[in-house]
Amino acid sequence: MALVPVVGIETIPAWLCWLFPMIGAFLTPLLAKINPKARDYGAVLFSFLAALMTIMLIPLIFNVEELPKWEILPWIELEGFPVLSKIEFGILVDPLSIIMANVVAVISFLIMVYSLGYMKGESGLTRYWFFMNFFIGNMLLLVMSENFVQTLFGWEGVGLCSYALIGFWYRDAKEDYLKCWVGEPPEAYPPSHCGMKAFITTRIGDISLLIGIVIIVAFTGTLSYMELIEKVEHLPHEFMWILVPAAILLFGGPIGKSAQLPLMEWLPDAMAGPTTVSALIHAATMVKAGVYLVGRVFPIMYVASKFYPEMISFFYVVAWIGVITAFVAGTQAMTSNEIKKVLAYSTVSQLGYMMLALGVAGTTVEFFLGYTAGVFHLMSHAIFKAALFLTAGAVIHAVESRFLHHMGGIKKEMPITFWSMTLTAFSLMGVPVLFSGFWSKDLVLESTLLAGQPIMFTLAAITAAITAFYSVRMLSLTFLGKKSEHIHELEHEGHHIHEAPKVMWVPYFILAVATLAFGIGGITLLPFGGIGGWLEHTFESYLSKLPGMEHSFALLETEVTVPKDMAVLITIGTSLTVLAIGAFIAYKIYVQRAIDPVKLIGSKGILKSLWNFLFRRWYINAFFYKVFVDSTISFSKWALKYIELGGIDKFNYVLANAIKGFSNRFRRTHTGFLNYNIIGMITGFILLLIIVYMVMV
Amino acid sequence: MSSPDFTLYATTAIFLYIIGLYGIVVRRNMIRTIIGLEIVTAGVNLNFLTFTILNKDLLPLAQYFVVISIVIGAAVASLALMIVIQAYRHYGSIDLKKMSRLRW
Amino acid sequence: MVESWIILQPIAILFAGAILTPLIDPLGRAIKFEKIRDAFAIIIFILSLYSLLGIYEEVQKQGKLTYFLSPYSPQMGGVSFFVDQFSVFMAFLFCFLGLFVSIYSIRYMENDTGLDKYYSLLMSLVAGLVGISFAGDLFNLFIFWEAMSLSSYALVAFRKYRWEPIEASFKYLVMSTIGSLTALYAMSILYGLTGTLNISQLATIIPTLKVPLQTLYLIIVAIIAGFGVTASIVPFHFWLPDAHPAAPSGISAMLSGVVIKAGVYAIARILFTIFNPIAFDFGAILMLFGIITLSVANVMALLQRDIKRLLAFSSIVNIGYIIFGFGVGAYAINVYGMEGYSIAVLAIMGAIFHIFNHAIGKGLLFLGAGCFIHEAGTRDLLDLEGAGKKMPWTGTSFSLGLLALAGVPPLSGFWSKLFIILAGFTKLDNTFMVVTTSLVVLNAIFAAAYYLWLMQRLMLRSPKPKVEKVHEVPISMVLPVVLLGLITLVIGLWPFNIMSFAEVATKSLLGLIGG
Repeated sequence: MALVPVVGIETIPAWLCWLFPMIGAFLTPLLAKINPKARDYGAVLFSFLAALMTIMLIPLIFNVEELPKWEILPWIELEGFPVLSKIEFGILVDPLSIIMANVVAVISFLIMVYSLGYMKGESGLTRYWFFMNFFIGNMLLLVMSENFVQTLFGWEGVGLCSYALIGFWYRDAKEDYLKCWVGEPPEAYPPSHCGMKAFITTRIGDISLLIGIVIIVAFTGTLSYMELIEKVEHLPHEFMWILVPAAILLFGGPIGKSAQLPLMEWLPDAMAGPTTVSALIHAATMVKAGVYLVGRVFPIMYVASKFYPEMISFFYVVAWIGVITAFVAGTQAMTSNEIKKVLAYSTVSQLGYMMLALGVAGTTVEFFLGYTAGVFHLMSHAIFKAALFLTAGAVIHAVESRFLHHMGGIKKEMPITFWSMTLTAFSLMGVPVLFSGFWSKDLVLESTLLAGQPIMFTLAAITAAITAFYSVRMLSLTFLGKKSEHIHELEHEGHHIHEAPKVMWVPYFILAVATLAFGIGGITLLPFGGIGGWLEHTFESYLSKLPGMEHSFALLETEVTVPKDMAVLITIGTSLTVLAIGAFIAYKIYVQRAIDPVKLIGSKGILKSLWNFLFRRWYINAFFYKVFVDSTISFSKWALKYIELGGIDKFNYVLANAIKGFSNRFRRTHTGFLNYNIIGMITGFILLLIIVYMVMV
Repeated sequence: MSSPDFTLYATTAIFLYIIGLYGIVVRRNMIRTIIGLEIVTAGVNLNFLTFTILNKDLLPLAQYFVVISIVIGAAVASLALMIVIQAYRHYGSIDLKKMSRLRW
Repeated sequence: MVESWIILQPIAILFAGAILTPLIDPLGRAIKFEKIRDAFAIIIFILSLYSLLGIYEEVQKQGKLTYFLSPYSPQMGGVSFFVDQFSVFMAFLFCFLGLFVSIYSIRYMENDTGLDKYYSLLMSLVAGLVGISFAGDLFNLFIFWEAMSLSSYALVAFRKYRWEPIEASFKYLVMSTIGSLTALYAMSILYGLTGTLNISQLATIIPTLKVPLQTLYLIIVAIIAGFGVTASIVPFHFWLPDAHPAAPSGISAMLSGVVIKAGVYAIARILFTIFNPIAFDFGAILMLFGIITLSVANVMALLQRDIKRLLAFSSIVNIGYIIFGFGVGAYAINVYGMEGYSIAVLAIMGAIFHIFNHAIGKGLLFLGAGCFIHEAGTRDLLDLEGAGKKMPWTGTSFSLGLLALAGVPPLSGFWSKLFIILAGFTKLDNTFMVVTTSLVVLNAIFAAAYYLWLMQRLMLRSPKPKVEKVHEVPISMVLPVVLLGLITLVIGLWPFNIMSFAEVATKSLLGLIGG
């Protein structure tokens, strides 16, 4: 198969899908000048156009033989530059990017529609729409990009939008404590702080990503993904060793962007932004960018690992970080008091699943199993997590608080929201058969098992139990039981709880239906292997076409080898068991209210310290603040006093005064008296003659 | 015979140049400054002609140059004199020392 | 070398314009449309630019052009014209700025009388300038030189009802005449020794002369000193800080922008072409003079309170850069022989490019300063604080000009200074070059101080009482300013066109391009 860039009209949607939102973003201020309504609907229109464009790409995924579609435009020609000869700009359409683009664009559109209702009446909407559209454009640019530089553009762009949107209510008004602050003392943070935290944390990841890219470029001379797959085979053997650190550094970017350990702390605090932002950026799209990047470089690393077996360590790193993050984040969700924070931790946890899947994929011959599992779970998670966030937003709007203990008992007043949240929460937990979450999560577990990693499998399973626990907890604290005091106060003041307006519940209802649809599709298509099986087949046939991937070989002897049909049974069995355990415990505590959690934990003792440990986020957050933030602030205070004011400023004054004095005295030479001026001229002339005669002649 | 004549003329030219400059430098009267300028011009023109002593072929062109140079010198002088008149109107004197309001 | 009479066109057009303007003026008054003479001036400039375009194409096609205007054959050293890319470059610059100044003067000078003479003098100024750049032999150069100088003396003294232009003009006249006469003296010696004043012929004859070297060096020094007066090299510069502020702002722009460049052009043309840098070491002199000019002017500029005087000193500073650039070029050729040619091309290209940048930038600054003065009625910087805030278009373009001259990327001044400094630093083992170039760098940083101070004063402070009532100037005044600012910005972002033009001009000057 020739890997040559081709130009064709089928790929025009791929160009337009990210251009439309970018244009829309820049038109927003103009539209705002015309009419606020024009601006709102205009912004939604552009995201609709983007979704339309990505949907137009779907037919391509059914003709895998025609992919990849790869177009490039030359951008900067660097002749004679030592390593890199050109930087290009193009698009790469393959199954991964089509799926991801659709996920991003369609969910973005739904969330934009939801924003019409959610953000009604807020000030600064022009800024909001601009950044939302700019975000969608950048995200799609990232997805469609065909080389590292372009990805970096989109990467940084989404980082900027994330920062701007998290800090949307940047004025940090104390009255908004219940609306847009995050956390409780001693870790309560205002929105502007959260935006900065997110930006800085992901920046650390970005730096590592950049270094990784630079190393790769330095050794291979190309930035394009497609070319790298070819080139990595021909890398001289003595340079291969650099690929492992480069790949791990490269992975630093996804660690930051996808909130894995050790850079996960920004995501829970990113909940300070509006719920639409949380849904779009921090659940459905931006955090998936890291997973997407791992998926993008997967073929490159996989081919490299054939010729250089030590590359496997990269995949191990990915998998271990994924599974450990999933576990840690899951436990933190168990004790959180805010509805959005539970969902945030849950996001981190599920992202860990995706990384796990991609990681173990790289260690096996049938890489497409894990690869599919990662991508399928990405798609499935995006749908149900976005829906969960949107429903949470509706609840927060209704109850006017973000805390779980301010909610409760509103199932009657908000039935659509209740059922949407419940259905999607079931998908998150992995309730069997009807829900896409079940199929995707099971695929992840199955691929872990088939890769021969029992420890990872166990950890993932335990995490599934924890997931079930906190999901049921969240559902029951929000909707079931008695109404809280806070709600009674609100009703007293005349704010009655009622269902969300149509423009808000239609989007998340659609998403709930979608998660059901994928689940049901999973079972009805079972003869064809279900959706998961179809995806497997697609990825297998596509990825095997890439140069270097067509040889199959056994990579390593795993400790436990399990035949495939046994694996399916074991997986289903395990997942059902852990689901039941987790859900049952939560049911007992929170739904039946048979056991009072407060009394259970008590005020002292092991359980209380364990609860503290989980509530304070394993003290990771506190650690980072103490070590990095506080020390930097005290150093800069010291530097201000002693270096800046004491040293540099003083030097400035001395120098300036000296020159001023000199200049004032020198000015007297220009007397203004013509005769003296001419004397000056003549003196100059004579001196010049003398110098010339002395020196030259 | 050419040599002593040549040296004579050449030194005269240089001498005129220096005298003219001296006049400009030392005199505070604006009219005298202009006179000094004219003396310098004369010296330079003379210098053109001195070289024709050595080489008769140069003469036609040298005459041509000198005539034009004299014309230009006249133009400059007239312009300068006009400025002197205006200066007298403003300053009430033609003393250069008084015309040093533009300084430092 | 090809003979072509189109060389004469621009000069003829401009002189014709200069002669006809006093006739157009009564016509204008008769039909009650006084501004017709302004329109006429603009038309003349546009026509001359158009004919320059034609000359440019001819030069590109056929190499250098010459034309002989007298019954005397070239062997006798008859009067001739000589055009190569460097000449065309300079002539373009002169006419271009002349056009902008005419547009500017429509409104700026409307309260003055005798405007027919103004435009007539302006056209003869530019005619003289173009003639200088097209001159093929030294006497031709001198004639046009004097035409230009006389026009500029008169223009400086234009507002004769005030004391300042008179004093400034007198000093300018005396000093400049002394300079021209010194140069003429040098020319006479040259003529006497070689029998010709034709530049290209002199170039071939000089190496074969059997005269003591002292005489030739005397000539070189006299040329530098003589033309250096108009080029405002220290210590011959004393007239400039008085003349430029005293002239009307459009003329200040012309003076600072192009007239002093004519001096540099004359020095460059004569020295590089006639006295081959390989044999004669004048590069070091030029470098030294450049440094001295830079430093003295910088120190003087720092504490000025008059906005135009500060800009005038800044002009001297930039001439220092240009002279330094030419000096590095000559020095490199002298010391390093054939290998030095690449350094020389870089340095001289930087210098020529800086001529362009400074002409545009200083023209912009003076026209902008004129706008401020026109509105606020004062030249004192302490009173003009905050004027940029009240006059946003002028203020922004003015700041662009300041930043460009300070050498801030991505504006145009950055590139030209960069080339000169790079050329100076190419040979790091040559201490003379390294030391002088470091001094240039230090001076460039030093200059940034008062540029930024000026910008801060004008743009960032709150308006002082005198400036409170000002408003933006009429469009015909602000248009040239804004256009020049845009040019600065565009050239800064995309300098390659002008750079290649400058490079061709350099090579032509050094004789590396035949034709």
